[in-house]
Amino acid sequence: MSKTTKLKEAIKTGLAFTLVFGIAMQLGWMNPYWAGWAVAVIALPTAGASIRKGTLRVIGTIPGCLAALVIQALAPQERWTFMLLTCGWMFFTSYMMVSRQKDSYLWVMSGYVCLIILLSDVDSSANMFESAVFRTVETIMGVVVYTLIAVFLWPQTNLGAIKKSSAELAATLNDIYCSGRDTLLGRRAPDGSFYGLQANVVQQLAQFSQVIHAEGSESYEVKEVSHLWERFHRLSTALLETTGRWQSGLAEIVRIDVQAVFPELQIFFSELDSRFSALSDILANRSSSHLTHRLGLESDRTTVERLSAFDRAAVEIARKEMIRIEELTAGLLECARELAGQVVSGGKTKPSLTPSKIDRGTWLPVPDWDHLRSAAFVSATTGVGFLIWILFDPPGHSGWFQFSGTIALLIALVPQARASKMIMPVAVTSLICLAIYVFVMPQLSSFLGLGALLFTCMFLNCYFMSGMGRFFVSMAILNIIQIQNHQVYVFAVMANMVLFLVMAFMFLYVMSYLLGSPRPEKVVLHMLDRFFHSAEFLMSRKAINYGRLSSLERWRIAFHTRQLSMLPAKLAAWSKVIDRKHIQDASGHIQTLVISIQNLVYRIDQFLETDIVFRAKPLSQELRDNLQIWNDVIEKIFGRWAQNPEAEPVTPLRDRLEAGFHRIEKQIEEVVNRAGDEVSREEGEKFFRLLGGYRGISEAVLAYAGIAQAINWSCLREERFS
Amino acid sequence: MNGIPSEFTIGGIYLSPLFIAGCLGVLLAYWTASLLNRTRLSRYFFYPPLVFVALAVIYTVAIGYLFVPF
Repeated sequence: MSKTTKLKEAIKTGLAFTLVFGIAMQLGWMNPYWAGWAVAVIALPTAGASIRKGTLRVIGTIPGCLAALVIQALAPQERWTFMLLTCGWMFFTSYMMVSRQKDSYLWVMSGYVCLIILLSDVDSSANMFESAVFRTVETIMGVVVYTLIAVFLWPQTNLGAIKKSSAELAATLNDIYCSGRDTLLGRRAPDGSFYGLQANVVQQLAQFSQVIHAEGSESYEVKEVSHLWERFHRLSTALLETTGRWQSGLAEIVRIDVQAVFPELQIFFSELDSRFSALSDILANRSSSHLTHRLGLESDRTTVERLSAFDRAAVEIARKEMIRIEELTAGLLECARELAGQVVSGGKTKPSLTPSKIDRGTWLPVPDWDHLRSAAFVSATTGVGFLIWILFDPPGHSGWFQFSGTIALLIALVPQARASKMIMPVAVTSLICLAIYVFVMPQLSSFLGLGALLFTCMFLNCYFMSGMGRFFVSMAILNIIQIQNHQVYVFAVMANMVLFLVMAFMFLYVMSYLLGSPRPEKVVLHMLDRFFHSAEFLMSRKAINYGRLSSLERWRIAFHTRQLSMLPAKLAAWSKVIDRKHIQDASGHIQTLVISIQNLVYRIDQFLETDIVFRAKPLSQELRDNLQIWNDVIEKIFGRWAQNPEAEPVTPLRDRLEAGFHRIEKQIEEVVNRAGDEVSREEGEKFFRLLGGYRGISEAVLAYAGIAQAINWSCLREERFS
Repeated sequence: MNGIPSEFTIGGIYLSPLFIAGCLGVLLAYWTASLLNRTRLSRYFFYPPLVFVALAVIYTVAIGYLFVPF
């Protein structure tokens, strides 16, 4: 953001902040700082983003108010029921907040507002309904005032951002595809450039998702076709996953003459090239004459039969992924055409968006372990805060219940932000605001003076601060310079407030230990344990016929599958905040380890997708036994890694797996020679896909073991003061 | 130092001696923890967060006994 834009934004926020205080005080509304909070929180760089956040704030306020009224109605005089009901509501809202990225802020508000209303008047519940009404009205007023100022004064529009963002996304997806294509055609060696591009796409997808909602809030035309933009987003995500799976297998196929195996490969790639080029033209509002031709990718049977069994398996896996890429690019192009108004297809080309997930077959909800932990943390912090208040009543009083619960929500939302790092900024900003309260506020006698002070505080905050820093300063301004309709100055109250704020963050820091160490390296180790435990579980269930499983067993499979798919992204986020200096990892092995984990997920996905063919006709009993042994070996490796991530040294592991490869390859040749034409093509393909799945997992396991060997695990496990 | 607890006054504001001793105790515990981290001696503790709390309590009591009776 340029300095001029920053200046304009700071003026707009300062002006809105002053105005809402003026309106609320003029009308004699309860707690004018509620409206100030609305402005401080929804002030975002573009009008669309602010409108969306403001809307979510208003919508979230309503269930929060209703929940507070219901809790108070059910337990007006029973403190334990009151505490349990409130903790239950906080658990629910925080679980929804962390699990629903799209409307996460709505759930933050539902939890936070409930606590505010419950404690709006601790001596009596007579004013509770009035408080709920004022809270809602003042929130709406704050949102409306800021929106009007954002729209009419130096408007920063989002219009066009969606096109720009989608064009950038399509360009990076094209780069990813080109990198895979060039590797396959032997134009470049397999390298790590894909992972850099993949990280870019993940960021662009997140940004694109925000832009869809922000621009949709601002423009009716965009809102009308938002379902198409959502589809574009989902297709891009699916394409990213598929290219990832495709790329992860390229190292095994590059030494094969792929052009002989797939005679139409050049035509296939030139069609995909044209599609990406047409996509880029359409998103840039240029016309495109490209007509999509649906393609297959047949392999040359004679050439394929000359390959070794494992190479045939690798070819079969790569073919399947390329066909999937073809489907997805056709879908993306059709979606872009529909958005440009060039064609209304009604979604003729609708590839399935989750090809990699096995049928979960369970009607039970499948929770995420980390989301449950976050919700438990918020709920426990609220409950313990309540106990501190009613049993000890230290400075801050009901704030221990209300404020601790609110900040716990924020910590749960950004778990990598550590409570210990927040203590100092909170102490400094609170002391500055206390000085303003003591020395400046008593000198003011009219709204002109107060307005100028509020404007200056907010202007300086918005101009110099950003992110969490801005939030803390806003919190200090609104909590310490507590402006009321009948202003009373009590130093002791405000000094206690400063003390309380610092103590509350210390309390949150202690509470963050309740559910495990918040140190990033410990979290990474814990997540690796969980990852391999889930991988071991899924490998152990692969050989079982899914049809005969109990409901509980199906739920467990779904739970572990979810763990496996979610953990790489979480590991990536946590590994970034590890202090490399402390763990002596100057070359970034931890980041490489996370990439290898993602690769392992792709390979396990591919493997789980394959049909169960242990009972297939062409397999001899001996081969079936050997595949089962292989399965058991991989399962045991995962089990050992779940206990200790460096348990398997790479050289003996490679020897063991390669010996298994050779034994199985020999048996396959025997089986193929014996079976001849009895084996149908479909059965053959299934069989080779399974084999490719095994091989893929073995290669990924070896890659992980190689990287794990280079990491100093004892440093990661070492105890430290955090 | 007569061993009788007395409040600290800052501009007419009275602060409890326990509060002052506690703040100093926490600061000293923080400084000790940083030193132990730097010298990698922290690895010999089973659970550093508890050690930190113990250090803070020990320092607070020591300060109370030696300098700021509470």
